[in-house]
Amino acid sequence: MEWTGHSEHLTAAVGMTQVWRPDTTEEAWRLKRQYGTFASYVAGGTWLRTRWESGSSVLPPYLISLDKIAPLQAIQQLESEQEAVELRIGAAVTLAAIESHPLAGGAVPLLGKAVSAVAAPSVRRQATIGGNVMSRSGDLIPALLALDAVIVSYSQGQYERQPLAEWLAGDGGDCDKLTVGFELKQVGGSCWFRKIGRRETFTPSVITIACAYRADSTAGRLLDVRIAVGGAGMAPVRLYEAETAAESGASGASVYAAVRKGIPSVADDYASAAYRRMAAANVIAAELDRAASG
Amino acid sequence: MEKPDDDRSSSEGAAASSPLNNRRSAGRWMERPDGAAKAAGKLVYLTDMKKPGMLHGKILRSSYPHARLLEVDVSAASQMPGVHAVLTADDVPGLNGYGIVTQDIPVFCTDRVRHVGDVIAAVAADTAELAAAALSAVRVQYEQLAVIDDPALALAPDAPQLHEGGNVLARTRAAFGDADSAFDSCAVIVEEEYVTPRQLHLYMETEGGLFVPEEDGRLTVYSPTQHGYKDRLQLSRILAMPEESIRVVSSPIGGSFGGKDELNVQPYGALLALYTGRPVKMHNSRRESVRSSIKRHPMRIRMKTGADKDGRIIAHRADILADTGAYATLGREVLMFATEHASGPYRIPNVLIEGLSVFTNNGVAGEFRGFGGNQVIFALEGQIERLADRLGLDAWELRRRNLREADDPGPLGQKIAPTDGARQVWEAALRSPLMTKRGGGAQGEEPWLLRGVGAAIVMHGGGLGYGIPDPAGGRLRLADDGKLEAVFGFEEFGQGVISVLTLLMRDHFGCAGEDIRIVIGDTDTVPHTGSATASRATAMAWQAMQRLAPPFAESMLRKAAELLGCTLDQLETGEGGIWRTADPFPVWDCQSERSSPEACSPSCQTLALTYRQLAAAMAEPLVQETSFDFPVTSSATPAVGSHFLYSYASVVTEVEVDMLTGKVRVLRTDHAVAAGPVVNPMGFLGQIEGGSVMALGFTLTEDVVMEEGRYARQQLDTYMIPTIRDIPRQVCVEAVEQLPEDDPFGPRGVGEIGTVGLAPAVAAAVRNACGSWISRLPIRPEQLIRPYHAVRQHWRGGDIGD
Repeated sequence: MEWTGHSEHLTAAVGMTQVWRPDTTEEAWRLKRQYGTFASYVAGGTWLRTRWESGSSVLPPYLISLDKIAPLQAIQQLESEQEAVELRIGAAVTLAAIESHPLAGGAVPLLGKAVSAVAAPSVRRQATIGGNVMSRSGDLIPALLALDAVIVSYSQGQYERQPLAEWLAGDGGDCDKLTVGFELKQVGGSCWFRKIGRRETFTPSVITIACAYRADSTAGRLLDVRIAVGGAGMAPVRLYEAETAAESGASGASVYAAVRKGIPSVADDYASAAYRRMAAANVIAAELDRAASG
Repeated sequence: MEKPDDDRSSSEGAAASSPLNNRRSAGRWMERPDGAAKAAGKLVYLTDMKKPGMLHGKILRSSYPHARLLEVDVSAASQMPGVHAVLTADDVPGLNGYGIVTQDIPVFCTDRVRHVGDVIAAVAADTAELAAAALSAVRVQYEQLAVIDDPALALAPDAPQLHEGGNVLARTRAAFGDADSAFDSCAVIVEEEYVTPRQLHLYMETEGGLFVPEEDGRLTVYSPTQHGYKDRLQLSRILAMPEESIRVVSSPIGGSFGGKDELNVQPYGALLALYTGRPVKMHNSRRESVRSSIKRHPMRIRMKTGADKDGRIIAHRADILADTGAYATLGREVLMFATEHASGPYRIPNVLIEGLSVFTNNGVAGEFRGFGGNQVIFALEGQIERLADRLGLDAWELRRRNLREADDPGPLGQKIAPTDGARQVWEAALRSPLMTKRGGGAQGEEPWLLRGVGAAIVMHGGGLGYGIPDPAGGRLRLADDGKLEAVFGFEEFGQGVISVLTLLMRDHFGCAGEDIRIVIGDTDTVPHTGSATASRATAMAWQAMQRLAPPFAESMLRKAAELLGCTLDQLETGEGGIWRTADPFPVWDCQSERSSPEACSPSCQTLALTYRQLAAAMAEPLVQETSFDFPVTSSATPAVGSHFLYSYASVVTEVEVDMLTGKVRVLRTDHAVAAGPVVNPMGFLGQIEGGSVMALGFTLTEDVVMEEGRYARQQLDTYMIPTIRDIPRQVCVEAVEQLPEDDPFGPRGVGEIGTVGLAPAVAAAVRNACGSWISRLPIRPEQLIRPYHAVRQHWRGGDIGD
């Protein structure tokens, strides 16, 4: 026997959330520091909104919108001594902007493919790369991992660069940092991106796979293989063992086994962990076999 | 009439042979009057309506799928500023219950909650936010009870009983011959259990409306429904108000598919409006809609079917177990329909079908396009495929050997309107180019993509069935402004009844679109014409017009002849008014208000009198009414619910299975539908295409997963309906229109039949593609996926094991 309040109605009931729209990174960071857990950064808000609606997280009394901070909206080419293009993409750049930007979606095809696989065009016009990554399960993460992307954050007057893989391995508890952008290189060679969803498009991921490699046609081998998987509430990971297997010219069956070992066990009401492993291992093995025989 | 570009035939040209596409050039292709506004998002629905001073209503639903309700304390909520009413069971002046047939759904629960959509209180406040805050301030004391989340659990001897009458809502039985002993003489017998999902109707417009107390004490309800008069009756019981004091305005509607036939938020909006004396707006969020709305019945169907060595089916048994959820609504009727249709369009001498519809705490299941046919046809057609496989026969040929003849009795032994529909659609399927590929699988563009073709056949009854009141009717009126009004009680929820009525008016009177006014969806103005349900509206509109139009036209012509001083046979109705058919001929002189042969000029030679002039000259308004019942069987002792008018359909489809992921894609579907003459080609096409997309979701992606009586998927981010990228690139629809010469019944309905046949056709195609038998929907990629080495082996020429 128990008394039950009906707190699920509370989120809808609170109409008093205040939105800050700072002009600078510093100001945004200060506001967050001031309000702590009573505030949340927000950009497109597409993912956060579903969390608030479902009760997975509570709409805080303060929102700090990143929409007026110019550097966070920019895609810029970094000075680089190498031939490859190096890019910095602001955390609040929308997925639609990345999709259509010649330097981003165009010059980095793996990123372009990944962005197009997220949600639907209307959502992509609002959702941002920062939000996708900060959700820790976004479809862009495997692509950024395969691109060896670096996450740039701001804290107390300092900018910090950290490999995304390293950042993901952390617990995300450091709320004193504001993610301001991502740096990545345009890599030569080939790539593919595959999102296995519950339907053909506008779908949650069942498993998402990103892969980049170079084919050495003279030696008939694959070089610089980068494979990452994510999706569906799973912590995205690089599949280092499978990469090594592929680079050492192992058969599809060995790559298959290595992929299976590397994928975290995640199940939900749609797909079992076993299905996710097999589907990912199948797709990766088949694609790499084809590339090797290519 | 503008004809749209033929987008379908441009998709690889295959649709060009479809008779429905040919119609586009024959002038019957009518763009739906409500189409442009809907497509542009400009149409104002009832749930968009606002009124000055209106309050916002919200509903408090149960926190538990099954619990005793010990106490409800609304004192804190009632005292909140801006909150105008907090209502509970004590505030219901009339019957605290509703339901189309049995009124067992509590408006407000008093002592027990049986599913998470059960209602405990309702609130009206100045804003939606305040109403939500008030809900959170209602304190409820529950005592949780064991949750019955599976119909098998409900049938256990020690199961808690959800209703006084126990956990069984309905039992059905249909028996011919002696099925059990006939299995002894069968050469092959196949036995399988089929499982179908709980499906959401997923109308785009969630439930809601505006509820307005009028100054004269009446109540106006602007809220979508499939049957305004039924809502009015149900509300009058709850509110203890005479039916005439309630006006239900119910169109336009943003989709229903059976889901809005039962009441939803109307009792609460009405009660709150009457208590506060102010207009109250209700509008469910999608989450509230998922939580509270009725769903398609999940069914577990066990079938055993036997044939002789020549493929003649001798014996067929089906046991249907339906999860009807917490309350009755139309659960009994859905089960009756499933029972009737579980032997399909086949002549089987020994049949035993038994059905059980069982109460659980899994929400509420009820009416849904297809009405129980979808589930049993999936199972039955699966049996046919399995039998053919065992016999080594082509499955389509096996169907032919067992197909009903035109004059055969219906599935429950009742006399039905004879048509050759079953054979017509069987033959039409063979015209699909896909059929040459049936039986064998093929490889797609990658070695791991396997293709297969499958087909299925459907027989589907229209109308409510024998012994269930099924009144129809209609009214024609010459309005003062000269419009020819067609006044019907049907609702427009996207199925196109406005187009149907417009086309029928044009057919009968030869008039122009602008001469016509369609009046529907308002109990203050329309006659009783029954519910827009059970594939009946088009058929009933056609039959009503057959009765109404000749006498109405004659009355108009008689008056016109009198005014013009000519004979009846010199006149006919047409565009703009009454036209002369013979020279020389007088026309009506507006100035002198008399006929004047000398006023005749070349430009007005043929139109003798406008409808407006005719209306003005009428001493009394010209009105023609009819009422009749949906035709039923003339058998002496037919089973209650058995049908008389049937439509038939075949579906041929090609699918591609990705063996690396187990995902199925439907590449193309060809539909043939025998339902009598097509009234509205665009509407017909829309029903079949739209129905098959709905069926695609049922087959591949849709399932309202519940865990211990709670919805695991509460939003469209996890409940997956097909998108444009999921649907086949090609959908062809052929209408087989021929009826026997003496058939008096005209068009049969097609509102549901397009949703039925796709699932078994896809299942057969998947089997032909990769060898796996499908017995559970939606098809799970987990069943079809194979490990890489097995797939490799296959594309090197080996075979993939099941």
